Amino acid sequence: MDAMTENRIRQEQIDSYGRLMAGFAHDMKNHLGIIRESNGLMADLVEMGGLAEDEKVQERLKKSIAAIERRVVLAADMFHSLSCFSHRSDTPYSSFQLNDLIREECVFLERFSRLKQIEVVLELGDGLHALYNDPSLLHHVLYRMYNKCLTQMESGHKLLIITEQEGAKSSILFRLQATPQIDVQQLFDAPFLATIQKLDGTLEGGASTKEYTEIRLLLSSLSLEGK
Amino acid sequence: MTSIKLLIIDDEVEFAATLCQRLQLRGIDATDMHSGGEGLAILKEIAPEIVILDLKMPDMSGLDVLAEIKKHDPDIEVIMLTGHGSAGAGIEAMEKGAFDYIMKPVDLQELLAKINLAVDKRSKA
Amino acid sequence: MKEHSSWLTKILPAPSDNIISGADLDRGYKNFSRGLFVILTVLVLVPLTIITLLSHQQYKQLLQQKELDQLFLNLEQAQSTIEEFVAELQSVIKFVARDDHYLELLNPKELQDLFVRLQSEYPGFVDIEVIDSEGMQKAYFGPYQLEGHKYTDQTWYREVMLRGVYISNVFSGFRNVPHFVIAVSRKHPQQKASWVLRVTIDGQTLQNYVDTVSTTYADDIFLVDQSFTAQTRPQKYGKIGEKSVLYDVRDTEKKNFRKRVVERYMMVQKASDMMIVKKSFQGRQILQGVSDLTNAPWKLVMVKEQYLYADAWFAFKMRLTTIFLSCTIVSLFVIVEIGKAITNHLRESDMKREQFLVEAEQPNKLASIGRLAAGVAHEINNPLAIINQKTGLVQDFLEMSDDFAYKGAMGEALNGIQNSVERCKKITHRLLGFARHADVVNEEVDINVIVREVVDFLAKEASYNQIKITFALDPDISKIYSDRGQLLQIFLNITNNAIDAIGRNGEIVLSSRQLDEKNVQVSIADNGPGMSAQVQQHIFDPFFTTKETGKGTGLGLSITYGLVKKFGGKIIVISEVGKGTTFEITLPITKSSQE
Repeated sequence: MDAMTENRIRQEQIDSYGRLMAGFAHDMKNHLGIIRESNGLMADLVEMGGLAEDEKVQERLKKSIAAIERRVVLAADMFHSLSCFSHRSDTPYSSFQLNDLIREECVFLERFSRLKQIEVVLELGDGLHALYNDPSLLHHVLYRMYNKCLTQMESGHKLLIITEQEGAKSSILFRLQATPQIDVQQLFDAPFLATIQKLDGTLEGGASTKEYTEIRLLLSSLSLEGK
Repeated sequence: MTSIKLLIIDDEVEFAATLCQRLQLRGIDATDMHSGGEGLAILKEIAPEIVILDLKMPDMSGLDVLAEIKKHDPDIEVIMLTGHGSAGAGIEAMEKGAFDYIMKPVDLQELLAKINLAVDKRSKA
Repeated sequence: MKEHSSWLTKILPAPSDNIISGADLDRGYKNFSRGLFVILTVLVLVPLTIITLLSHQQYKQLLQQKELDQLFLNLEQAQSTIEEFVAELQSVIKFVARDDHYLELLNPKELQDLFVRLQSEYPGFVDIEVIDSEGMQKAYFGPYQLEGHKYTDQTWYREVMLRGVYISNVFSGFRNVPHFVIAVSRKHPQQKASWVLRVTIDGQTLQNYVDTVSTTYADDIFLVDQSFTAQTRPQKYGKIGEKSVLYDVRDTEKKNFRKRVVERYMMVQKASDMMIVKKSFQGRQILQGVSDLTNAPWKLVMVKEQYLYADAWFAFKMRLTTIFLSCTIVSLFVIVEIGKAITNHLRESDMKREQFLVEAEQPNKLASIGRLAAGVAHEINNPLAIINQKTGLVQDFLEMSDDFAYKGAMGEALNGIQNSVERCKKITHRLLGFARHADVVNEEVDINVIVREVVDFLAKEASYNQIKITFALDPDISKIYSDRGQLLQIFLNITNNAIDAIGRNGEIVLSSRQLDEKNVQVSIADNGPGMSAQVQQHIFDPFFTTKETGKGTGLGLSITYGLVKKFGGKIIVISEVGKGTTFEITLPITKSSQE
């Protein structure tokens, strides 16, 4: 089996996962809908039949119902992000807002940083141009960069993700608090760097001070004559 | 029958608190703590017979906490809480001295059955 | 790369390990192409030039040697011819002047007869005279009135008395036409002294001799006397009766030349009185061969313009130049083409490498998606666990509380929540199962589990279309060693195809069985419309699709086929129009049979 076929299979697998995740998010949203409706009904019933119960029990019931509601909303948000995330791979190239893409991905990445006890702060800049690129590949690149940053950091520190427009390019800056200088070319392997090139992006080390070290990913913004 | 002394250690506060409340409703003397450190600190004070311990916590891994508890008192029976799909981790914990494991979201009847089994084991010992 | 010497690395384009812009890369290739061109040009042109110069030199030497040999041979031939002529003249005169003829010849009638006879044979004879031992002319026959001459004190007379024969230079004398003299002395029949027969010969005779020997080879040939005065008419180099114009011209190369000639012709005795010198006359390079005649006081001079002016040399130079130029042009052309080809090849392989690197990232991408999916599954677990507990708590309260108006309705709502949570739990569990397969690893897999997972994934779509999926799985089937993710892909593709083929209302049966000790078989059968034999033939071809345009890529089954092949398995399709289609996939159990 040649490399090209192998590659097609991988791509097909990736597509499958995309569909799977989208389906999953859809299913889960349905179930959460049911939970939410049932919970709402319960809230109504407690409200209506409240006189029969003693104050204390009613109070606790209300608290529980409110907690369920909160969690359902949280989970629903997450699934919304997940379906956005999954549908990104529907088209190989599309125009999108970088900030949206980062936001929805970070919903899932947040867990990795939480387990390492690293605080991740997003500072998503205003006025970023739209990108025309491969969103699913960019997801992957951001995921790898995020994870690499986490491996370089220690618990208790802060990772800042800053986006801003720099001329014709959109910049995604990872600022790693209290981390020694990083050689960007060393940190990532050749296939990954080639992938960044495929995105028409450049990866470079940013400023490095005592307080922090930076890694910057620059991507060409959407322009009429591009692509 | 004196009530069973039980400690819940889980970083998810709402989960731990609710589970604690439900167990209390069933006559178990349950306390909830929200990190591995806190859990270990209060161990001496409340001297639990059974600990329900989350496997994944930010400050310490459940396995480390398990080892500390067993060091403190090998007779304390520990039931591990695992995310689903990670039966392997539960089994690993059992190899390291945990009494049993149960997957989240927890089915209370199942948990109660496991707690009873653990109490039985202690009384036989 | 780093091992290369610096000059080579300098011209090679920078390896694209670093991120460099396309323009930089292009410049790199341009430099490389230029460097390659220079190196190849030097490599080709240097030997070509050396060979050209060498052959130039070699041919020059060859020509020189050849013309020297030629000149030598010609000179030798001419010399011996002229010597023969002279000898003939001498012997004729010697013959007529037999010792006892003296008295006869004194008779004018006899002398006239003799002379007429001689002249009929040798028209160049001008006159004849007989001289006695005292040097007094005794008889004369000829067109001039020369009787009574006394030669006693003349040098030639003494010489002829001494040597027996004398040949003079060509001179005009009082006859006023160029002529020369041959005199022979003979013993007096009675007296002890000798007498002399002297014949004057027209200088034209000598000219005729020289003309006979002159060949097209030599550019000039003439006789000179000891003081280099021309005896015959040179064509280019001087005038008759004057000193040869070449006499004063310094030899440019004498010693070497003579030595070489002598060396080469050691065997030839005559070589010693032959000399070939190189001279430069009026800006032309010439070779002058001079040879002493053994029986006459003359030297034979042969002049040959050097090879430089010969056609052969010119033709050679033309040919050499043409060859050199055409070789240069052809090789430059070839070098440019080769350079282009190599650079293009390099550029392409660099691009391919880049492509390859991007492709190498593909499994990583798969893995990262898998991990993200797992993250999602874990993440959703927390809210589910909390909802589950909270609902449980509410249920507890409800159980403890007395009946109230909406207790039943509330219980139902709580059950609804718990049911949904239970379903969420199952789906999440399934997602985790899938996510695990994203990592590309070979492991022991239970084929039945995989088949069930495939159905989990497709169950909803199947149920929408009223398609019933049933299993006929062999519970004792051996586990196989394979890549879960890719196995999943195989069954997913085929089952998907089956769902598409049925459309609505139908049944798919997935079965597994142990084929033999080494192989397991999974068959996926549908009761859809089936396929014609023609479609069956092409079903595994890439881009073959029966779906309407835009709906399928047509890659599904060809990839499936490739995957099964990769695992060392077999896939066959059994189908009948109107009855349905069955795919039978046979997979080996062992790890080694995959390779």
